[in-house]
Amino acid sequence: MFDELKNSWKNQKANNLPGVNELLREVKQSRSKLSLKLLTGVVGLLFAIVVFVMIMYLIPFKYAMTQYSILAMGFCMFVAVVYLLYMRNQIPTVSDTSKDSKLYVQQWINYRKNVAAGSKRFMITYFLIIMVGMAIYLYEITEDNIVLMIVAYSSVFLWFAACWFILKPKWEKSTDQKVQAIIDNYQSIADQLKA
Amino acid sequence: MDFKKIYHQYNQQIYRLCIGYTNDESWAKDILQDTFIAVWKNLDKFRGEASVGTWIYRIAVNNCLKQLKKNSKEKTSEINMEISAPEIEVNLKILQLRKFINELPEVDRLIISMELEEIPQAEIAEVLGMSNGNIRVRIHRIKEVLTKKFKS
Repeated sequence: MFDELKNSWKNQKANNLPGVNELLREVKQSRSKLSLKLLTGVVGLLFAIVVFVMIMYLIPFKYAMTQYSILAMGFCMFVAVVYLLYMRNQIPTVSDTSKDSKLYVQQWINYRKNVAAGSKRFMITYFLIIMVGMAIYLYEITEDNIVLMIVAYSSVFLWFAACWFILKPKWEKSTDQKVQAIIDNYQSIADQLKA
Repeated sequence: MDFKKIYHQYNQQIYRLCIGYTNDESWAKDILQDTFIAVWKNLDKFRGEASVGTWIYRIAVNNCLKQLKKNSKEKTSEINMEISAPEIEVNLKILQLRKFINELPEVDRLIISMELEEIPQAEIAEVLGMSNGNIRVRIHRIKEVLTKKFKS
């Protein structure tokens, strides 16, 4: 029965597969998309640095602490962009499809786990530094007007509380679910390769 | 190595492997495309430790395994049988076989697709990173499952 099936199976011919030239065009397009993404990341990073340098030099702050807080926020954004670019650049290494399947699937599982853990740690640190920086900066610009200070601190506090207690748990839950679904998918394949 | 020659030699085989994995023609074509793009990009890194065929199958298999399950919910075998009929000349038995293969676990789908393609079992083991004995047992089991499905 299987010999007959083998013959029929091998007789299946797809008529409209992409031609070689079409494939090579795809290669070129995927390369240009990749460099455009990289370029956007780098431009964003440079723009953020320019903005922070301008703030540092153009606005005469009274307290050195304010300058440090702005520096900390700028540094935080810089690290965020570098981190994102780094994680993106890891993908081609992980997705080297010429390894054997057992190794390939295991690498994807590890990569997904690392990205998930790293992003969570990174988000919390990023959020805390931005919050502290903002609080110090607000003190300098509102110190002469107590009403403005109360309004500004209350609004910022409410905004951060909403982010921390409502948005962050939601983001974490949906991210965890998505990542877990992907990891479970790969894990089930890894188990099949072991069995 | 000439990419054009490789593509013409292997594209139908790899397409059938992808069809065995997905039972979805447009999805299979996407994986085929990704596979040969990877082949083209890595051709200069190919050191000849395995045969070109094994190397290409390994890339195709890994591209299949990379696909996430959610995509498989977007299609059904029945709809797929209707769509596929005008596109490729396949008989009802093959459509049934594709459907039955699609009901197997992911790795078994790949193993039986390569077996139907008459890839040597040692090569299948090398592609998947499994032992020869394991592949032999798996093929035997898969054939039993498929035979039962055809009989019922």
